[in-house]
Amino acid sequence: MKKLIVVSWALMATHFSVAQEKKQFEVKNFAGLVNITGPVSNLVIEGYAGTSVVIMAEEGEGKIPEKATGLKMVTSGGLDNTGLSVTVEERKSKVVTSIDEKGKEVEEEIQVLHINIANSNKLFKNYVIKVPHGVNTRFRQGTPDIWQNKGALKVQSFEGELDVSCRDCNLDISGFSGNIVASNSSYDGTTRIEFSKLAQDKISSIHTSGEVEIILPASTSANLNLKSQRGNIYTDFDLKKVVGDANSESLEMTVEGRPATVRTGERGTFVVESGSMTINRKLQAERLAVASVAAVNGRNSKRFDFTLNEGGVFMSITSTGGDIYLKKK
Amino acid sequence: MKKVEEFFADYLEGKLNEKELTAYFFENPGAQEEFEELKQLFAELPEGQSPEVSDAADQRFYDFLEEQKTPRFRVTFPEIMRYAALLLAVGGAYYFGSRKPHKEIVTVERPVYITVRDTITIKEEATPADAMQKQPVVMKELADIKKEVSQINEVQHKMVLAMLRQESAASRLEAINYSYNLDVADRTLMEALFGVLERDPSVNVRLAALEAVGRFELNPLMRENLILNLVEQQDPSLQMALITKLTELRELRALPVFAEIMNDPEVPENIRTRAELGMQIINM
Repeated sequence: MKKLIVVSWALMATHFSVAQEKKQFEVKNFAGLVNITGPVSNLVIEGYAGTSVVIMAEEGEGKIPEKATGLKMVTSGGLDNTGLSVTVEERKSKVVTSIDEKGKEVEEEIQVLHINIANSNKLFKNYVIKVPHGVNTRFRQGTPDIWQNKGALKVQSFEGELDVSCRDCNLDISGFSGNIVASNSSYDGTTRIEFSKLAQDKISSIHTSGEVEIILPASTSANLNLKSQRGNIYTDFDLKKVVGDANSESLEMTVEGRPATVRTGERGTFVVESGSMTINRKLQAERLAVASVAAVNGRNSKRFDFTLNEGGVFMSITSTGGDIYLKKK
Repeated sequence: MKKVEEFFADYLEGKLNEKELTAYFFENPGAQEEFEELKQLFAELPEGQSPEVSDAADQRFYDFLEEQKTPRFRVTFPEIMRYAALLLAVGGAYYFGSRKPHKEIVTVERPVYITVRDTITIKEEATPADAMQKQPVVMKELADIKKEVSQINEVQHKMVLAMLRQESAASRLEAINYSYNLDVADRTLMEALFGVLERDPSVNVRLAALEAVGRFELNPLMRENLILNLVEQQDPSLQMALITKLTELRELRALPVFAEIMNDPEVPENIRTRAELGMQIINM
């Protein structure tokens, strides 16, 4: 009996070790921009303290069809050149990285690593893409597979700038350190982003259609723009409403030769408090005058509604269809 | 021949000859208005003040009125100093800002506010040439200030347009936030923002651009562009945002597009519902 147990344990161990064995492809010493396109199901993007970009995957249930013997798989990025149903291509690209003091673009040549994972892939599963800390990364969802359940895209221990967009997914980001531009357009999809640190040098923007949960360290400083169109916002942070906003600011203006005090009102309107402002819609100049009044309104209105702690980097969190939960870590 | 002030003095003393006054008004157009103004001024004198005024005070009053009648440059010195100080502050801030590395100039949280331009007309009764002759220093200062403002504007516009071409989505978002400090009536800026709305690879940036062009509410071209954009739009978040915006604007021309979306089985149901709701609101 004991023997049987030992044998079955040994069998189970072999089984798991086979299941966990991963094939991998490595791009050594990469610094630049990683651009990933693929399905969201079973994908993990993981930040780590290394220098290479590593793509790992487990073999899936599917088999290469007999008819495909000697053929190569084609992904949206080209031919599979990794043996993992993934196309990897490194290209140099001239991009605008900053602006000089005269307002001119500063162009730089950067390395862009394009990683395309095949859609509806049965040959491989549980992809993990390891990205060195500090390497900026972009993810775009390939054509969503409407027959599959909503996939979950996981991002773990990432450090740097992340630009992620999906149309049919649940986003689960944890241990994130840096700035993020995230959009999740799936109506009933969920988004959860847990920050280790919010970068103060670049702004963050999170836009979702469904509910969104943001977890920030308690000491995080930020200027927040929170909007939930059809849901509510909940928080355990002591948010401070920005006071002295646009509504209290008045400006002396002359429109059509008569002085008028213009006060900005709610929802982008403007109110003429005294004097008069006649608008002849046929005249372009007058329309421009009115547009300028509106611009003054835009200029004065703060882009954020709340400050977190002392206030800091601009961060917008918007949900069109769900609740927003802003929590302390 | 009597003057208005003399008639007014008679009026105050109760010795006014109505017939003589009517004749005077007939001969001197505008005199009646002046007379009425004097009456009004008198009526507005603080309570308790005796209508019996001394000759010296009388003279000061007439001098004051005379002074009011001569055309003069109406911008007072403190006012000019106020504008100058404001512009110097802005100019100075910009100058010192421009000496630092770029990242520090474009801090979105503390934008450099430019004073209101174009729409503020400094009221002058004298012609510019007259004013130039009378107050050459002030006029030169004003011209310099105007020039300086237009230069700052130009650089700021250039900067925003360049920032919108940056690789990083966060930097492009920063550019859109910054564009709120610029004059909305600028056509290049509007076109650049529409370009972003149509082509930017990031949904967040496109949504921010949509919010920013929303300030051009009175521009018919902006509304047309929004409708055209909705026709082409594939992203559900942007479809939703565009429908919401066009509904807010009560844009009748968007109705056929709304109807098309409503009947398109490939469009997600929540967006079709929103289009239907939008149609009902616009038709209300």
